[in-house]
Amino acid sequence: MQIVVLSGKGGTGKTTVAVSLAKTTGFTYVDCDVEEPNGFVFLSPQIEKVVDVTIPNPVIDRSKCITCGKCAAVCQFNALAVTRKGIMLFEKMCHGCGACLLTCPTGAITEQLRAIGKIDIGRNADIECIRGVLDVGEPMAGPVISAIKKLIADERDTIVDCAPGSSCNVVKAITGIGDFKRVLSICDFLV
Amino acid sequence: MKICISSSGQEKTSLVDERFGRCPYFVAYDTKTKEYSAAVNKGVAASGGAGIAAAQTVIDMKADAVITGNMGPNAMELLQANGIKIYQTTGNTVEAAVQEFKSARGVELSKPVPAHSGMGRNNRRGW
Repeated sequence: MQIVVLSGKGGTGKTTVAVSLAKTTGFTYVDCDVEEPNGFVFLSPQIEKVVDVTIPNPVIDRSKCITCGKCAAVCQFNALAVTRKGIMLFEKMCHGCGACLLTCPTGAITEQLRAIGKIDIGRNADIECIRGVLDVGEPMAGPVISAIKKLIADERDTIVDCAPGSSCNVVKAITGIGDFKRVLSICDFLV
Repeated sequence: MKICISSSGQEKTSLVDERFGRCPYFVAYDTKTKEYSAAVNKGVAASGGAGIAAAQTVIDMKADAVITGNMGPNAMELLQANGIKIYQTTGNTVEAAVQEFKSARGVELSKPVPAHSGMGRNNRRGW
């Protein structure tokens, strides 16, 4: 079973509820509020494993690049620009989709993994604790949350602490929660 | 020399748009031919990276200088890498901004405003 703790507003007690639930039930505590994870403040677990989260960024070989600009044109995130000196990459804009790599006619683009955050895995006495940490200044939390979701995709019981609001980060964290349909059916019954 | 002005319209009488990344048009003025021409800003409808797309539009127009109100960090980095000069103006028509530039009263812009400034209060990320 996966239970996700949500709130439309920040500072209302999501972490308090999530941590208490995890402690009471013995479920795995998962902090998906990767921009400011704070569940570990209460649980202070012993960190046993740290996994880096990376996204692929293009690297342009200037000796092969003919500055045709096809990569910049295909980029949906405006991460590449054509300048007089060659192609310029704004790495923070890059989502790592790889379209530029496929489009480049001269094969001047290769990919290099860039770390944008990490996942801490540890234990607090009886419960397993997982949290995602997005690096300061990184704009994109999605890949970190996805990496956590992949990690807890097995059948283990979890309490998931989320980001506030209804942003992409929240949607990402609740995507694939199997019991969501059950919650909906309960709502239908009540209405 | 070609000067690009961030504009709300396509005419020389159009008002200058003080946002660089999210302005609808760029009006270019050629100091040799003394003619105006306009282009749609590729950044206006971008979901992200508007400043970069706008700067790319200006680079593709072969501009030597840009006149605008404010500019974000990415666009400024890109234009500076291309050796394009950036000047600041406030609440003018395109024509008046060009006059201001010609009379050497143009103020050079060297510091960017924070990212997403041109999106208005309600459209910025966060909660």
